[in-house]
Amino acid sequence: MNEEIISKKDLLEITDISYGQLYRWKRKKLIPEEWFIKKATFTGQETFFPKDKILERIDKIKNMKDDLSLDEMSKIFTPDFDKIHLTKNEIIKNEISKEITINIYLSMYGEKRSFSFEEILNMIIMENMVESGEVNIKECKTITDIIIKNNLKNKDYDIVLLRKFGIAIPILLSSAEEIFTDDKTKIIKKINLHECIEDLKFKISNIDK
Amino acid sequence: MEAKDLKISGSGTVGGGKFKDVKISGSGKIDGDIECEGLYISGSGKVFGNIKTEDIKISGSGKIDGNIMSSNVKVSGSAKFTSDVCCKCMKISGSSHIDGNLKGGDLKISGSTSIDKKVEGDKVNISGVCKIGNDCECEEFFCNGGFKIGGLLNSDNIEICLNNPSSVKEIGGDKITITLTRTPSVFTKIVKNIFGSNKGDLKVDTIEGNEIDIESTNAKIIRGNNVIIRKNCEVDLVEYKDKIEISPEAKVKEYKKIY
Repeated sequence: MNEEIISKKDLLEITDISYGQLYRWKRKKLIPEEWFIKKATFTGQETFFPKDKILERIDKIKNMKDDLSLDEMSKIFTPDFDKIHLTKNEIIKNEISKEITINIYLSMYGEKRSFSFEEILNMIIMENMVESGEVNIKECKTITDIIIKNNLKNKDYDIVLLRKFGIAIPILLSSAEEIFTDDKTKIIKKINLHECIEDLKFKISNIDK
Repeated sequence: MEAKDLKISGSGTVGGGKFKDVKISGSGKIDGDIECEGLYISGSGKVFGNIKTEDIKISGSGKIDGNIMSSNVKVSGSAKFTSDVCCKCMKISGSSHIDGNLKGGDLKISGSTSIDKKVEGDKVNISGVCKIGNDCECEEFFCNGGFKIGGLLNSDNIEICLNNPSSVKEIGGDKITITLTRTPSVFTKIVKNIFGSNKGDLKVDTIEGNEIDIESTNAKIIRGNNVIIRKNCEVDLVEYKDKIEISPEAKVKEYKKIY
């Protein structure tokens, strides 16, 4: 996806906002950190933004700022992830997960119109595991079952899949722990839950509002 | 059942849990998460676990190996925090080290403190020397001393009085003022004449703001609405919108008015 970018300088000129305002909106997370793109130019390092996204966002902020405080606006632009619900199409369109993953998930857990943050997280973990080529779909389900059962969304855990004699055993353990196994047990895959969560939050924040 | 106090004096290891007040004097250790009203360490206490409390007071050399959530944090001496610290009000005097992020409201740092990752606050007040690994984001930033910030200093109002060599990658904000500390006392003047003055200066890549008034700063690019460049500054390029003032004791390679 090749988006047009605009330099910070041009942006301030077009939108008639000051540096003070831009930095303040950045602090309040009204403009996502990820939109500040640093590139090397002949004058040194300069900052650019995705043109359409930033112009639209600044327009919205300007319209809202007379009625809402910066903190109130911040809540609108940084979503409460607990309340997120995305449809299958939104997930595919925003490249969060693949259609085939969603279909598999649906076949495991039943038909759904929209998915919560947790459910999307599970899909991504499944996709991650299956793509490694080392884990089959049935084994994936055991993993997502544990995550659902234990409600681990906010903790720093690693999902480790062990296999011995063809039997797959998923384990969730605190990220700092080391795991030691015997010769016959193989560590098939290890995924850090926290990284998956941050990644998903980032993708969701980037969805056009 | 009402929570009880936990007191360790001497050296002993106790498990974590829920308490009223936790007091460690000597070299006691607590192994496990703690939820309490107050945590008081005098001596060299260690906590291996996360802490959720109203008050933390460390005098001596405490070590906390876990995340901290506390309303008030007061450290005098040297403390080591291996994870993140989240608080409303923090006062550090002495030398402390936070390996993770520091997030708070009112942060007062005097002495020498290092924070390896990011600092987020409302008011950050540094007197002494402070080292921040990543960005520092706040509404007010006052410094009387020196600092090393690895990333961006982003604050609405920035007032820096330098008496130590300082550096920061970028500064962004509304009102940015950088001066050298003025030392009026006669004694200090004599000391300076004998030992040589403690030169304060600031090295920064980019400064962007609305009102910029700087002294003793070495910068590549400065962009603002009204810019005043005072003595001992060395700047490659200044881009200003409304007004510019350059002291004859400053070296500015190029300056231009934009839009």
